[in-house]
Amino acid sequence: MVKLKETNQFSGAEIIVKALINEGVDTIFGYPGGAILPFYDALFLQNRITHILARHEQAAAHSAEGYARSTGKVGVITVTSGPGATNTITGLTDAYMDSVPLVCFSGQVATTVIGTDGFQEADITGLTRSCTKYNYLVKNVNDLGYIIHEAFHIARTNRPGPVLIDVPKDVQNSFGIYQGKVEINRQSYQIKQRKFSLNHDNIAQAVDLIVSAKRPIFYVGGGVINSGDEACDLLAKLVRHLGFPITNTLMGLGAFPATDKHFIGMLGMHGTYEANLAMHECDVMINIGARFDDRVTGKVSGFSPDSKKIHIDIDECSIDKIIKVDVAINADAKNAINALLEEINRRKIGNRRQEINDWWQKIQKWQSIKSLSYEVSKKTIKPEYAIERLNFFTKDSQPFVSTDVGQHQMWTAQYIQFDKPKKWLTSGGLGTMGYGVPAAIGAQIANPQDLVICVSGDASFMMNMQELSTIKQYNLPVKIFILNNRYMGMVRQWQELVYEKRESQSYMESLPNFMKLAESFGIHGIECDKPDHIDEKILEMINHPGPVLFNCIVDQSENVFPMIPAGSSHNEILLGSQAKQYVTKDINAV
Amino acid sequence: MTEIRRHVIAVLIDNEFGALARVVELFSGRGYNIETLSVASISQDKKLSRITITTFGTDKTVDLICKLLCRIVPVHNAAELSKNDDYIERELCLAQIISTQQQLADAQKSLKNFRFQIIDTEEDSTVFEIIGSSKEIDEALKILENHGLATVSRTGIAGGFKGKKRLDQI
Repeated sequence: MVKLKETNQFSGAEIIVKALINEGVDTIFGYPGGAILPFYDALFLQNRITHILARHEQAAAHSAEGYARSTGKVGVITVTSGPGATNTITGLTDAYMDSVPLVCFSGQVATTVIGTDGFQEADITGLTRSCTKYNYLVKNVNDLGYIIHEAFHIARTNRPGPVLIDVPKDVQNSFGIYQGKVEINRQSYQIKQRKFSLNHDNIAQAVDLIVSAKRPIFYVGGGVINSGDEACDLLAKLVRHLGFPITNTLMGLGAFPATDKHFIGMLGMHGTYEANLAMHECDVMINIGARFDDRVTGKVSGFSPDSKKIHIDIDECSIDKIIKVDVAINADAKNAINALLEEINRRKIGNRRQEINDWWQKIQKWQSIKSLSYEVSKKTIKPEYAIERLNFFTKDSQPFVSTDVGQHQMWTAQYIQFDKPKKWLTSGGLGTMGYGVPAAIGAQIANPQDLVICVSGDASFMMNMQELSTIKQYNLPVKIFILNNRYMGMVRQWQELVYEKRESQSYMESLPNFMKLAESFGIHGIECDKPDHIDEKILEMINHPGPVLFNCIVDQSENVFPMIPAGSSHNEILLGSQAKQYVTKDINAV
Repeated sequence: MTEIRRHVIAVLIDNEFGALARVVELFSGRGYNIETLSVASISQDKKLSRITITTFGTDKTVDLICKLLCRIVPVHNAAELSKNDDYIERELCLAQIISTQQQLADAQKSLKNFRFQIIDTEEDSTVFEIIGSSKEIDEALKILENHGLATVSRTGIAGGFKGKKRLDQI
């Protein structure tokens, strides 16, 4: 850590640089502009922090998310005032929904100009109040250092999230005192941490339910990944010790190894048949770090009607918000899982696999339906097949995989097997098209030696394809694998199911020539439209040392199944073969 | 649970810009109107403020709002006062009437069951200060409507639990 004398005076811009270094930051993502120029000048005069220049501030935010999620560190964004800052709002909201720790610095017009409609002025603290965990407008340079350290503390502790610091240009230019990294003692925030309720009573109640369960299931979300690698290891120990089945949410993929026999697939709208029916019929549900999202619960009144529910969550607001639970444990996942394990060991509870054999047999019967099967074609590439082959050729190298949003995202979640946490980067809560490419950039910057793949769709890819330029500039060997069906596939799927196939605005006219597009950015392009060629083309992609844009032309009409239509319960899950008989029940459900 | 009723919520919060906006947005973002809101710093060093809010909504939504209030970084504590009857509330109202001397005398007589005093008179204008629950003030204002009521300014309620129960013990 840099030691500083108390009397030292630094410019606000220098204070930002020093505070970032003291927070251990070595990489930031951003885009310069008028109101943040003093900071960019201070950045130019140092060599500790690497700045990655995005081509759009939204992409800078998603790259910081990809960096944060693939490392567990705080992602940092620096942008200018006005449009620079407003462009980050989608990324900040995405991070807020998916609990990603970010600190975003935005330049602001000088304090004397604030509120006068100055050039590139926007009330960014007002605009981001509802999509950040907290935000600051710094009016005095002497407050800047403490605020930065408090912002990092808030971003990474409790339920993580984005924090924005708005720094007017004159504050960056004026000189003040920086005392180095100090302890954060904000009373209102400490009160929240003291509330965590890891008391013996509710741990004992949870274990009582676990001991007597006949049809138990673990339902695990991204909270376990956010809690850290140790939490994931403890979870695996707990699940294997008890011999219970486990399902992960979209955000939770990788928290428990997908190739482990206890894992019965993802649950929710496009989860497996066995995971959803097991959730419906279980008698004890152990939810760790998941928030009963509507993609998971389906119709709330029909959700897992006969179960006792244990809910472990660091965010008290998530408890009893959607589903009333029987045992609520408001705590960090790692500590709670550890406490459960200790209590289980204290009571000498062994493996219960044999005791719940009837339940496992039932699950195996559901598994035998093979809900992820699809019609194989010799003529066109089925998107499921393409992802299965991608998984086959890459699983040993345990790649980082990012996605955009839509059909390709669900197929990737279904067919790529994640055995490790922090490898899976997808926009779960907000569902942001355009997330995938910049998130992959962030992951590749953080993990330069690892294979990073972005699975995208033709429509999503075009929402942030300017980032090919960033990929080229930093020579990042990101592999972009586009499942190109010439449609906004998920929109078309809903129109097919709910709107009698009226394909309103979901066809992608005038797509670019992806090969020429790649070439124009100096990136290797690969195209494939034949199932017979997919293996060699995927291998060509993996073995190419630099970035690749892979245009995989797939079946246009394929839909994602299984599917719990919006507004239905888990036991109303549709398999692909049943889709034609489907009648919409609730046109207001999304 | 789904019945719409009146709720009184109290919040202890750091006295800083933007803090009140964070509180208010939790209501507006859910399409909830704030009926009354009062806020002032309550500590000698002016660092801590107390907000009292009344709103109409379902128990479920208000419960969630209270939890979300506690999650706001500068909030120390937040709780619903009106879960049970063990809370007290007071509101202050300034009501001006424009009246003849006879109407003024009638007005004072009609308000004899209320806690009020006259705090300003100028020509035919008289300003009453009235203190009570929101309901009492509603009633007093209704009476004054027949006695030349001209302008009204209400503070919204200040509230707290009865006895020694504190906001941070909920």
